[in-house]
Amino acid sequence: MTQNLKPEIGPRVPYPLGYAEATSFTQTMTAPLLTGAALTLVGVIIVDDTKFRVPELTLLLVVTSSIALIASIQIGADARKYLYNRETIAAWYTEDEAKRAGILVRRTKHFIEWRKRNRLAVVVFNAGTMLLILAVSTALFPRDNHAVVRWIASGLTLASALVEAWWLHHLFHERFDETPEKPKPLDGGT
Amino acid sequence: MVLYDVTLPGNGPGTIECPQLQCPATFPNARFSRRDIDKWEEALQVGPEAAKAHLEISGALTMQHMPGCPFRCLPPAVLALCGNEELLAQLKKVGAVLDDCQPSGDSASGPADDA
Repeated sequence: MTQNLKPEIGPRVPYPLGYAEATSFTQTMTAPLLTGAALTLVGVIIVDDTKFRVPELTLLLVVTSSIALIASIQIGADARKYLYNRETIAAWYTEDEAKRAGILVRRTKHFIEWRKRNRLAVVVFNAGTMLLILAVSTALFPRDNHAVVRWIASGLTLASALVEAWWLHHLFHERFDETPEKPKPLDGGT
Repeated sequence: MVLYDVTLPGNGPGTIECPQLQCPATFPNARFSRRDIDKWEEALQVGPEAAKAHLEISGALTMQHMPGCPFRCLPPAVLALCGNEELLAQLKKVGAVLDDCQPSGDSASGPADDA
Protein backbone atom coordinates (compact mmCIF):
# COMPACT_ATOMS: atom_id res chain seq x y z
CA MET A 1 0.00 0.00 0.00
CA THR A 2 1.40 3.44 -0.97
CA GLN A 3 1.49 6.14 1.70
CA ASN A 4 -1.08 8.80 0.93
CA LEU A 5 0.36 12.21 0.14
CA LYS A 6 -0.58 15.34 2.04
CA PRO A 7 -3.44 17.16 0.23
CA GLU A 8 -2.07 20.20 -1.54
CA ILE A 9 -4.89 21.83 -3.46
CA GLY A 10 -3.84 23.88 -6.45
CA PRO A 11 -5.75 26.83 -7.89
CA ARG A 12 -8.74 26.02 -10.12
CA VAL A 13 -7.86 26.97 -13.68
CA PRO A 14 -9.22 26.10 -17.14
CA TYR A 15 -7.67 22.92 -18.52
CA PRO A 16 -5.90 23.20 -20.91
CA LEU A 17 -5.21 26.84 -20.06
CA GLY A 18 -6.30 27.99 -23.54
CA TYR A 19 -9.74 26.37 -23.18
CA ALA A 20 -11.48 29.47 -21.80
CA GLU A 21 -10.26 31.59 -24.71
CA ALA A 22 -11.27 28.95 -27.25
CA THR A 23 -14.75 28.50 -25.85
CA SER A 24 -15.21 32.27 -25.56
CA PHE A 25 -14.25 32.60 -29.24
CA THR A 26 -16.99 30.19 -30.31
CA GLN A 27 -19.60 32.04 -28.23
CA THR A 28 -18.65 35.60 -29.18
CA MET A 29 -17.43 35.21 -32.78
CA THR A 30 -18.58 31.93 -34.32
CA ALA A 31 -22.09 31.78 -32.84
CA PRO A 32 -23.11 35.32 -33.96
CA LEU A 33 -21.79 34.68 -37.48
CA LEU A 34 -23.63 31.37 -37.77
CA THR A 35 -26.79 32.97 -36.35
CA GLY A 36 -26.60 35.65 -39.05
CA ALA A 37 -26.25 33.00 -41.73
CA ALA A 38 -29.17 31.02 -40.31
CA LEU A 39 -31.47 34.05 -40.15
CA THR A 40 -30.57 34.94 -43.75
CA LEU A 41 -31.69 31.47 -44.80
CA VAL A 42 -34.95 32.01 -42.89
CA GLY A 43 -35.53 35.19 -44.92
CA VAL A 44 -34.86 33.41 -48.22
CA ILE A 45 -37.33 30.61 -47.43
CA ILE A 46 -40.05 33.03 -46.30
CA VAL A 47 -39.74 35.13 -49.46
CA ASP A 48 -39.90 32.20 -51.91
CA ASP A 49 -40.45 28.69 -50.58
CA THR A 50 -41.20 27.27 -54.05
CA LYS A 51 -37.47 26.79 -54.68
CA PHE A 52 -37.16 24.28 -51.81
CA ARG A 53 -38.17 20.64 -51.75
CA VAL A 54 -39.13 20.58 -48.05
CA PRO A 55 -39.40 24.26 -47.05
CA GLU A 56 -41.34 23.60 -43.82
CA LEU A 57 -38.72 21.16 -42.53
CA THR A 58 -35.85 23.44 -43.54
CA LEU A 59 -37.54 26.39 -41.85
CA LEU A 60 -38.10 24.39 -38.67
CA LEU A 61 -34.46 23.27 -38.57
CA VAL A 62 -33.02 26.68 -39.31
CA VAL A 63 -35.21 28.49 -36.77
CA THR A 64 -34.35 25.92 -34.07
CA SER A 65 -30.69 26.32 -34.96
CA SER A 66 -30.91 30.12 -34.65
CA ILE A 67 -32.57 29.85 -31.25
CA ALA A 68 -29.87 27.45 -30.03
CA LEU A 69 -27.03 29.62 -31.32
CA ILE A 70 -28.47 32.79 -29.76
CA ALA A 71 -28.97 30.87 -26.51
CA SER A 72 -25.32 29.81 -26.58
CA ILE A 73 -24.26 33.47 -26.89
CA GLN A 74 -26.44 34.43 -23.94
CA ILE A 75 -25.61 31.50 -21.69
CA GLY A 76 -21.92 31.88 -22.56
CA ALA A 77 -22.00 35.57 -21.59
CA ASP A 78 -23.79 34.68 -18.36
CA ALA A 79 -21.13 32.05 -17.59
CA ARG A 80 -18.24 34.33 -18.52
CA LYS A 81 -18.88 36.68 -15.60
CA TYR A 82 -17.75 33.94 -13.23
CA LEU A 83 -14.34 33.53 -14.88
CA TYR A 84 -11.56 35.86 -13.83
CA ASN A 85 -7.95 35.53 -12.87
CA ARG A 86 -5.63 36.97 -10.23
CA GLU A 87 -4.91 39.97 -12.43
CA THR A 88 -8.56 41.02 -12.26
CA ILE A 89 -8.59 40.59 -8.50
CA ALA A 90 -5.40 42.65 -8.21
CA ALA A 91 -7.01 45.40 -10.28
CA TRP A 92 -9.84 45.80 -7.78
CA TYR A 93 -8.38 44.80 -4.42
CA THR A 94 -5.11 45.22 -2.60
CA GLU A 95 -3.58 41.94 -1.48
CA ASP A 96 -4.66 42.58 2.09
CA GLU A 97 -8.23 43.48 1.13
CA ALA A 98 -8.51 40.37 -1.04
CA LYS A 99 -7.35 38.18 1.81
CA ARG A 100 -9.65 39.78 4.37
CA ALA A 101 -12.66 39.63 2.06
CA GLY A 102 -11.98 35.97 1.18
CA ILE A 103 -11.87 36.82 -2.52
CA LEU A 104 -9.74 33.82 -3.44
CA VAL A 105 -12.18 31.44 -1.79
CA ARG A 106 -14.98 33.14 -3.74
CA ARG A 107 -12.93 32.87 -6.94
CA THR A 108 -12.80 29.07 -6.55
CA LYS A 109 -16.59 28.91 -6.15
CA HIS A 110 -17.06 31.20 -9.14
CA PHE A 111 -14.72 29.10 -11.25
CA ILE A 112 -16.78 26.00 -10.50
CA GLU A 113 -19.92 27.95 -11.44
CA TRP A 114 -18.33 29.09 -14.72
CA ARG A 115 -17.42 25.52 -15.62
CA LYS A 116 -21.02 24.36 -15.00
CA ARG A 117 -22.69 27.19 -16.92
CA ASN A 118 -20.17 27.18 -19.74
CA ARG A 119 -20.83 23.49 -20.30
CA LEU A 120 -24.48 24.29 -20.98
CA ALA A 121 -23.46 27.02 -23.44
CA VAL A 122 -21.19 24.51 -25.20
CA VAL A 123 -23.93 21.90 -25.48
CA VAL A 124 -26.39 24.45 -26.89
CA PHE A 125 -23.79 25.82 -29.35
CA ASN A 126 -23.04 22.32 -30.62
CA ALA A 127 -26.76 21.57 -31.00
CA GLY A 128 -27.12 24.81 -32.98
CA THR A 129 -24.31 23.98 -35.40
CA MET A 130 -25.62 20.44 -35.94
CA LEU A 131 -29.12 21.76 -36.66
CA LEU A 132 -27.71 24.33 -39.06
CA ILE A 133 -25.81 21.69 -41.03
CA LEU A 134 -28.98 19.60 -41.25
CA ALA A 135 -30.96 22.68 -42.33
CA VAL A 136 -28.47 23.41 -45.12
CA SER A 137 -28.63 19.78 -46.17
CA THR A 138 -32.43 19.85 -46.49
CA ALA A 139 -32.26 23.23 -48.26
CA LEU A 140 -30.06 21.58 -50.87
CA PHE A 141 -32.56 18.78 -51.61
CA PRO A 142 -33.41 19.44 -55.31
CA ARG A 143 -37.03 19.70 -56.37
CA ASP A 144 -36.10 17.76 -59.48
CA ASN A 145 -35.00 14.17 -58.78
CA HIS A 146 -32.60 14.26 -61.76
CA ALA A 147 -30.44 17.06 -60.35
CA VAL A 148 -27.61 14.68 -59.52
CA VAL A 149 -25.00 17.28 -58.60
CA ARG A 150 -27.34 18.90 -56.11
CA TRP A 151 -28.09 15.52 -54.52
CA ILE A 152 -24.34 15.02 -54.19
CA ALA A 153 -24.00 18.44 -52.52
CA SER A 154 -26.79 17.53 -50.12
CA GLY A 155 -25.20 14.15 -49.42
CA LEU A 156 -21.84 15.79 -48.72
CA THR A 157 -23.52 18.12 -46.21
CA LEU A 158 -25.15 15.15 -44.50
CA ALA A 159 -21.76 13.40 -44.42
CA SER A 160 -20.25 16.48 -42.78
CA ALA A 161 -23.04 16.31 -40.18
CA LEU A 162 -21.91 12.76 -39.40
CA VAL A 163 -18.27 13.87 -39.10
CA GLU A 164 -19.37 16.71 -36.82
CA ALA A 165 -21.35 14.26 -34.67
CA TRP A 166 -18.32 11.97 -34.40
CA TRP A 167 -16.05 14.88 -33.51
CA LEU A 168 -18.43 16.14 -30.84
CA HIS A 169 -18.56 12.67 -29.33
CA HIS A 170 -14.76 12.68 -29.27
CA LEU A 171 -14.62 16.12 -27.62
CA PHE A 172 -17.09 15.10 -24.92
CA HIS A 173 -14.96 12.09 -23.99
CA GLU A 174 -11.57 13.74 -24.40
CA ARG A 175 -8.99 12.76 -21.77
CA PHE A 176 -5.59 14.35 -21.34
CA ASP A 177 -4.05 11.56 -19.27
CA GLU A 178 -0.73 10.43 -20.64
CA THR A 179 -1.30 6.78 -19.86
CA PRO A 180 -4.11 4.70 -21.39
CA GLU A 181 -7.38 4.53 -19.50
CA LYS A 182 -7.60 1.52 -17.21
CA PRO A 183 -9.24 1.07 -13.83
CA LYS A 184 -6.82 1.38 -10.90
CA PRO A 185 -7.00 -0.20 -7.46
CA LEU A 186 -7.45 2.13 -4.51
CA ASP A 187 -4.44 0.78 -2.61
CA GLY A 188 -1.72 2.98 -3.98
CA GLY A 189 -2.99 4.02 -7.34
CA THR A 190 0.03 2.77 -9.32
CA MET B 1 -4.10 24.96 -28.58
CA VAL B 2 -6.60 27.78 -29.10
CA LEU B 3 -6.10 27.60 -32.85
CA TYR B 4 -6.55 23.83 -32.71
CA ASP B 5 -9.78 24.18 -30.77
CA VAL B 6 -11.42 26.80 -32.97
CA THR B 7 -10.47 25.50 -36.38
CA LEU B 8 -12.05 22.10 -35.83
CA PRO B 9 -15.83 21.91 -35.64
CA GLY B 10 -17.62 21.65 -32.33
CA ASN B 11 -16.66 22.87 -28.93
CA GLY B 12 -15.63 20.58 -26.08
CA PRO B 13 -17.18 20.78 -22.63
CA GLY B 14 -13.82 21.22 -20.89
CA THR B 15 -11.88 19.04 -18.51
CA ILE B 16 -11.70 18.53 -14.79
CA GLU B 17 -8.27 18.32 -13.24
CA CYS B 18 -7.41 16.52 -10.04
CA PRO B 19 -7.17 19.28 -7.38
CA GLN B 20 -3.86 17.91 -6.04
CA LEU B 21 -1.21 20.35 -7.25
CA GLN B 22 1.17 17.80 -8.80
CA CYS B 23 -1.37 15.21 -9.97
CA PRO B 24 -1.92 14.96 -13.76
CA ALA B 25 -5.28 13.12 -13.59
CA THR B 26 -8.10 14.52 -15.69
CA PHE B 27 -11.75 13.67 -16.35
CA PRO B 28 -14.19 14.99 -18.98
CA ASN B 29 -16.46 17.74 -17.63
CA ALA B 30 -19.68 15.74 -17.52
CA ARG B 31 -23.09 16.99 -16.37
CA PHE B 32 -22.46 16.84 -12.64
CA SER B 33 -24.92 18.06 -10.01
CA ARG B 34 -25.20 18.20 -6.24
CA ARG B 35 -27.38 15.09 -6.46
CA ASP B 36 -24.27 13.14 -7.52
CA ILE B 37 -22.55 14.27 -4.32
CA ASP B 38 -25.62 13.32 -2.27
CA LYS B 39 -25.56 9.83 -3.81
CA TRP B 40 -21.86 9.50 -3.01
CA GLU B 41 -22.48 10.48 0.60
CA GLU B 42 -25.32 7.98 0.81
CA ALA B 43 -22.95 5.29 -0.48
CA LEU B 44 -20.39 6.26 2.18
CA GLN B 45 -23.04 5.88 4.85
CA VAL B 46 -23.97 2.41 3.61
CA GLY B 47 -20.37 1.18 3.94
CA PRO B 48 -17.06 0.41 2.21
CA GLU B 49 -18.49 -1.94 -0.41
CA ALA B 50 -21.11 0.56 -1.52
CA ALA B 51 -18.49 3.33 -1.56
CA LYS B 52 -16.14 1.25 -3.73
CA ALA B 53 -19.01 0.33 -6.05
CA HIS B 54 -19.94 4.01 -6.37
CA LEU B 55 -16.33 4.94 -7.16
CA GLU B 56 -16.25 2.33 -9.90
CA ILE B 57 -19.55 3.43 -11.44
CA SER B 58 -18.58 7.12 -11.29
CA GLY B 59 -15.42 6.53 -13.33
CA ALA B 60 -13.15 7.58 -10.45
CA LEU B 61 -10.99 4.48 -10.88
CA THR B 62 -10.22 5.35 -14.51
CA MET B 63 -8.54 8.63 -13.52
CA GLN B 64 -4.78 8.35 -13.80
CA HIS B 65 -3.87 9.82 -10.42
CA MET B 66 -0.27 9.98 -9.25
CA PRO B 67 0.70 7.28 -6.75
CA GLY B 68 -0.59 8.17 -3.29
CA CYS B 69 -2.78 11.02 -4.54
CA PRO B 70 -5.22 11.67 -1.69
CA PHE B 71 -8.01 12.58 -4.11
CA ARG B 72 -8.05 9.24 -5.93
CA CYS B 73 -10.78 8.04 -3.55
CA LEU B 74 -13.26 10.73 -4.52
CA PRO B 75 -15.69 10.54 -7.46
CA PRO B 76 -15.29 13.06 -10.32
CA ALA B 77 -18.49 14.90 -9.32
CA VAL B 78 -16.93 15.75 -5.94
CA LEU B 79 -13.70 16.91 -7.59
CA ALA B 80 -15.69 19.04 -10.04
CA LEU B 81 -18.20 20.71 -7.73
CA CYS B 82 -16.66 20.97 -4.26
CA GLY B 83 -14.73 24.01 -3.08
CA ASN B 84 -11.45 23.55 -1.26
CA GLU B 85 -12.83 23.26 2.25
CA GLU B 86 -15.51 20.83 1.17
CA LEU B 87 -12.89 18.74 -0.65
CA LEU B 88 -10.84 18.40 2.53
CA ALA B 89 -14.01 17.47 4.45
CA GLN B 90 -14.79 14.84 1.82
CA LEU B 91 -11.29 13.39 2.24
CA LYS B 92 -11.93 12.96 5.96
CA LYS B 93 -15.29 11.31 5.31
CA VAL B 94 -13.90 8.81 2.81
CA GLY B 95 -10.87 8.13 5.03
CA ALA B 96 -13.21 7.08 7.82
CA VAL B 97 -14.89 4.52 5.57
CA LEU B 98 -12.17 3.19 3.25
CA ASP B 99 -8.92 2.04 4.89
CA ASP B 100 -6.84 2.66 1.76
CA CYS B 101 -8.00 6.26 1.61
CA GLN B 102 -7.09 7.48 5.06
CA PRO B 103 -5.48 10.92 4.84
CA SER B 104 -1.76 11.28 5.48
CA GLY B 105 -0.65 11.90 9.07
CA ASP B 106 0.60 15.37 8.08
CA SER B 107 -1.99 18.09 8.26
CA ALA B 108 -3.20 19.37 4.91
CA SER B 109 -1.48 22.46 3.67
CA GLY B 110 -3.69 25.47 3.08
CA PRO B 111 -5.25 25.27 -0.35
CA ALA B 112 -3.09 27.29 -2.74
CA ASP B 113 -6.05 29.37 -3.88
CA ASP B 114 -7.25 30.20 -0.38
CA ALA B 115 -3.93 31.19 1.10
